[in-house]
Amino acid sequence: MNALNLWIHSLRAEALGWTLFHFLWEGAAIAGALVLLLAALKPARARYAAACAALLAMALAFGITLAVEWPWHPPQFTILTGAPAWNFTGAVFANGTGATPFRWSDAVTWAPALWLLGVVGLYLYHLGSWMAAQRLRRMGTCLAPEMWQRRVRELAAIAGVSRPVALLESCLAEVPLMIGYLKPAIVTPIGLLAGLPPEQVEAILLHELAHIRRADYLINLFQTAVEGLLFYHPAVWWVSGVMRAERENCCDDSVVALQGNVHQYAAALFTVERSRSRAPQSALAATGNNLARRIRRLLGQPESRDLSLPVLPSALLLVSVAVALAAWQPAPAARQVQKPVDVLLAAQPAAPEPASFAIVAAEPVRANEPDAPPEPPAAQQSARPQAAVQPAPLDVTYIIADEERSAFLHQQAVSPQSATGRWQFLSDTSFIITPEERTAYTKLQTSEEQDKFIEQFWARRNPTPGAPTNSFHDEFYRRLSYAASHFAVLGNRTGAYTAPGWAYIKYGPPDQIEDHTSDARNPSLFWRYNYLEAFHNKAEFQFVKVGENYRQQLNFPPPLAIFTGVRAAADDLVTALNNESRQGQSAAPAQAATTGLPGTHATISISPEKPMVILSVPLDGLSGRVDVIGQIRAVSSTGAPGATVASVRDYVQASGSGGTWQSNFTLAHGSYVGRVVVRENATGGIYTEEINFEVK
Amino acid sequence: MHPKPTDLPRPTEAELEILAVLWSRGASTVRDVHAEVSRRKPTQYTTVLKFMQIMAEKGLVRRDERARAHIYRATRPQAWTQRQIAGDLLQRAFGGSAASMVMGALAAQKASPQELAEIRKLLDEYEKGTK
Repeated sequence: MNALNLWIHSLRAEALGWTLFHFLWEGAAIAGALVLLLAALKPARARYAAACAALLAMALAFGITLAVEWPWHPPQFTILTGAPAWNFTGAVFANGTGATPFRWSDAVTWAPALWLLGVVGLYLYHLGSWMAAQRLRRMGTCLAPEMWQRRVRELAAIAGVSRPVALLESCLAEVPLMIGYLKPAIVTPIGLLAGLPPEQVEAILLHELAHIRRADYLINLFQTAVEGLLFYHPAVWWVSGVMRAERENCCDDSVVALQGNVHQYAAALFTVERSRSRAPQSALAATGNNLARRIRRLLGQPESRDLSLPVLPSALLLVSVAVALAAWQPAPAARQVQKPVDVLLAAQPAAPEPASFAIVAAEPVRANEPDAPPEPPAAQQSARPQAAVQPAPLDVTYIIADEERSAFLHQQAVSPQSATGRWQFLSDTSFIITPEERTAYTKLQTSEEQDKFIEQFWARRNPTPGAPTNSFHDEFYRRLSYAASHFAVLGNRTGAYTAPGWAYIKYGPPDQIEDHTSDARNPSLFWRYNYLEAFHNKAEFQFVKVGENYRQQLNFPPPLAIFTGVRAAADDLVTALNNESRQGQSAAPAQAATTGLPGTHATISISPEKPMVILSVPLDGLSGRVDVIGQIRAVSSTGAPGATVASVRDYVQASGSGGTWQSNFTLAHGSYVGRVVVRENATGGIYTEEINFEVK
Repeated sequence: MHPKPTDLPRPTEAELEILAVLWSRGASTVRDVHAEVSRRKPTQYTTVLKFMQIMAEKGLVRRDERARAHIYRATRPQAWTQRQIAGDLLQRAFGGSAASMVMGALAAQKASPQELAEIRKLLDEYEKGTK
């Protein structure tokens, strides 16, 4: 099951899924073209050629689409940075799971597995049929009388068949048939050769010889292969049916051309058909080979009713076109789902600068907690619509700076207020609640309103609305209690607020765990997920043990591009930093800013798929508390040039022996400049750099 | 004693040739069968005789010894043998769909009586029209 899940979510399966999806309309379009062609073409040979071309075009369309969609250079999973434990800022994604509407991308997820199952099943079935057909040559057969063997050689010469053809009598065959390509054999039912007038036997033999000359046996094998591959599309079956019907017509025509006697041939077909044993036979798939229609065509009789464009296939065609068209609209949207709507998590409710940039910044987490005490009136009104309106799942990016967040939450959880459900709810759901919801909730006055809000909060996340139980709610609390009891590593702090506890609550148990906690130099724990919806990718968490606690880091596929910083001044940011209170840190007096970091340069790396922009600031040569400001400005993009599109304010404890501070952004396409200011509190040294980069 | 299908061995190719003659001609003497078989390929009379004696031992044919020339008949009708061969596992599972793998002048599916009547009419009309 695990392997299946992994495969389903692999890039290859996704490519296959989209190929299957696109072939819905491609196949319909090709079949539509064939309908028009058939209306214009009369001769059986031309119609057959058109149907062949259509089937070939379908196979090519499928192949080309697959080649276009195929991930030729899939990202390999590696650890992005070898950052030591103590100094990172991990990016964390909260996924507000609303009631998820049906998305075509979901169907595309499962389609490849079902399709593959169908193809394998059909191919096995065809293999069995082929083996059974091969046995028709050997089982219950004997060579036909010498006289007829000779006659077949003569007729073969007339019909233009150069390969030697065996003529067999079989007690199994009910009708004359032809098997094989390299060593073709005509198999007739016992008694047919003796029971029919010789001219009629010859007519039937000529028909089979025409099949041999046209290599129909081989073509039919290819046809069956394509049919099995694209079995899910009704248009393919229809085209294949046209091919089979026109193939018989072609052979009929060639018999008449050689013998010149239409009536005699039609009568031969009729006699053989009538002489078939009346015994019930095993159910066979109708091959759409309507004998009455064939004979009418041979005799030049007008069709009693024109069924050349059969009703059922056309209806199926229309349906598949409609489905493809209907799906066409949501399809691009479905792909965009991969780019989450990121929301500014800063405390300022004036949240995201609309559309011009996909993301704004993530502010340090401390600013992020519900700080405002409950505000009076209007709040209640604003809470309601919010609860009702907010429909789509929101992917929220925020940053867990460090353990302070946990400490804060824990404090709330154990504070006297929390005895009431009010803060308990917020601390329980702190990993999944959206900032809007949090703001709305803190403004609620009465416990009735809060109860109502909580009820709606879970109802919005219920994957099966109307069901007696809310599986999301139940699973969430199961994980919460599991995490609380299993990941409590620091004093009396509950395990839910440690890094592994957090990951467990958000993403459930990992698919793979690698324990390196006994590694003295870099004690860490790796959790790997084969697929995480929030990232549309596999993901790896690295929890680094620090004392008794863990810090986590999310590792991504390798970057598409890395941009390196250059020495540059950033006076405005330096001023901003210096104007801040030092938060009680005993710091040296401010110094003049130095351009360039003391160690290696800062980098911007762009990881594929999201795309995710990662700002890394190496901390070589720095120690103690280090304040960091990172800022991203647009140079040219969809927004106004010069505008600040993201900024981060953070601090880390540097050991002096290296390490990296990181922060993640999601940016729209465009050119940007990233600016970094680092202040080492102990010395008061300030360092600045900037990085020009481009998101393609 | 009526042996079940499995009691009789499956006829070999040569045996089937002889059975085919007996099925189409009905009860025949060895001489008749030999005449028929030699039309397919030159065969010694004694070869046919030997084969038919073996087949009688196997139970594939029955010998009537009342007449001066022994008369042979097939123990089982053609349809029975056909079923016996078709009873093979592979044929049972895939015999039906094997039709999609071979080329035939006639469809795998039998024409209905109505269709046959319609064709009959078409042929008659055509004949009248050309005369």
